Amino acid sequence: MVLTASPKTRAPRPPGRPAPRRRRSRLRVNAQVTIALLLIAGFVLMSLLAPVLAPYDPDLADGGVKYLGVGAPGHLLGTDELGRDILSRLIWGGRTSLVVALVASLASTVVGSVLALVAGLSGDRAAGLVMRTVDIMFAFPVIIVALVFAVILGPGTPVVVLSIVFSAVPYVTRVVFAEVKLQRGREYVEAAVSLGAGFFSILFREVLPNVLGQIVVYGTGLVGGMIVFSSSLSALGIGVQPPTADWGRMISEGAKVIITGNVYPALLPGLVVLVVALAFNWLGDGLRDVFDPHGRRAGR
Amino acid sequence: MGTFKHILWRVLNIVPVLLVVSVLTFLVGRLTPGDPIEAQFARDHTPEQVEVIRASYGLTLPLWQQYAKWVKDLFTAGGGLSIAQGQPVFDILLPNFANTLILTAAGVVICAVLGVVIGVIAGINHRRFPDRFAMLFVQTGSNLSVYWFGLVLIWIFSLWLGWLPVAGMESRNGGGFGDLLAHLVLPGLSAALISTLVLARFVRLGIVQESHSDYVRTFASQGVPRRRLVGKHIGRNILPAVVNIIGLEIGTLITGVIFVESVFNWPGIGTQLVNAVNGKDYPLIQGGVILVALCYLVVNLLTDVTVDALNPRLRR
Repeated sequence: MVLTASPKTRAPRPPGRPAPRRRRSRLRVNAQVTIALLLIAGFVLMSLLAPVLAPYDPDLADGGVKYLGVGAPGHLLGTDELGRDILSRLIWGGRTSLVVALVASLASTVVGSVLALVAGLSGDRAAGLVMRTVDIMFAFPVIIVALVFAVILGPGTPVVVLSIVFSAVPYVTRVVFAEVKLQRGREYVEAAVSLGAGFFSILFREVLPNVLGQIVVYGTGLVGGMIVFSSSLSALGIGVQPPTADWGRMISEGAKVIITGNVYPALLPGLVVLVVALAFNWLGDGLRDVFDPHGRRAGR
Repeated sequence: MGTFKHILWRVLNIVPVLLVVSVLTFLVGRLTPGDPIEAQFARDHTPEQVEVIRASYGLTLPLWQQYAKWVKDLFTAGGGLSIAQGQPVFDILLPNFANTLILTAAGVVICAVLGVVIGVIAGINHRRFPDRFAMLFVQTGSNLSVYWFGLVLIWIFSLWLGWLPVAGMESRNGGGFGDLLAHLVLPGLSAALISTLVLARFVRLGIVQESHSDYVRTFASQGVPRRRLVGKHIGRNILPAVVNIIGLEIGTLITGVIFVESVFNWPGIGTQLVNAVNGKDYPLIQGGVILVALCYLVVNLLTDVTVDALNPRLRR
């Protein structure tokens, strides 16, 4: 099959629309993506090399050195209420947090995209069914989903992954569905249909290549929020369980001693979560500028 | 009459969703591995007594009868008995649910006011310094963990500056409405954080897009002052969408509230539900889920009706 009618570029914007925003210079976008990628690579490497990098055993409680401040000799970022080295716990904690966020993002992006592609390409009835199901999924606040999974499975890491996936899938489905519908109406798809292309040919050869950019952008944007959310769930006590070092748990354990004026055990893991989440956001934004150079979202 | 029919239609639309929600919630108790009755009572009861207790919870009936009984209990028996506490579920949950609603309401107010203010400031200063600053703030804030943000607020405003109470809902010796408000500020701010920023982003985008439209340009060319243009014309046009966003954000807000309750020791249902999870007290969880879901659906209904009322193009 040589006859693929996919356009190389997007259709030009219709006249009479508000002027597109000035394109951010390619250099700036590149710088943003580079910084984000470097940060992410740094944190991934840090987690992978945790056994080598961490100066102490993350669970080693040394009663003689409780509540050391940042910069204390031997403990660069101080120690917590049990005398555990905060830096070592941060390094080890990245493992669970990053894996949970990446797995959950990938799963929800794939599930949501499949639902959206099938719904968008196979007639009104299927589309109606899928989108109504999605509507019902929207009717559950995330925290309720998490509590329900927690009571079924018992608190733990799977609860975090499943509840995130359940709550993110409806969003992914809606976004991708809108995009699929848009592409489905374009002439190149009509052309392929009129040439007798089958369902899968249209899906994989025509539509998917043209919505993949959006999917990747949206999926990347999800990761940051998921790191943040999973840390909150673990802090609440229904996510990652002790003694596993985890950023969210470190925050909630630190929360118990903040009243005594020891703010670092809670402050530092929160800052790390913020930086990692921001890095994924920058990456997502940067990728959008790469995939969507016309800046259809006016006024960003 | 048309409006009334429309509202009725919206109400009827909730029914299938409620049905699905209730069936799923009901199944939660049945999907739970392990036997909570066994776990709770086996130690100090004979197997025969455990069976009697099991029957008293209706767990020996066929599944659909259990569902029917459960739904009936929701209306007549306070949602059934809590396994851990032996009292009707709603008797345990409702007093705290009221506190949760107070915090949620505070969150909605904070979200609406702050979100619109930030959005308008950014929108009318599009691409100038206040806009850039506000957007930096919004981007950073959207990536904050609600739980952690609450802690940082406590650290700054309660421990460091000493302006506001650390936690709880009222001072030890009571203190009336002003005291409640003082206790509401920090948890309300933290719970509303994410929704506020979503709304701010949205209001800003709305203003920027509307200012490019023909009617705004026409008014501007006729010398209508900018304050009036933004306040009266643009504001009126994006109002339905703003109300809609606030309604949709209630789910995020409820999630925020439950996180925040545990940070601020707020006596709401969040803490109760987390404890119920750890104790596998599923009747309590089911009751809580139904309460929150119902509340969420009612808010969505009210939002839809308000949006319709605000949008003259939808009136017939």
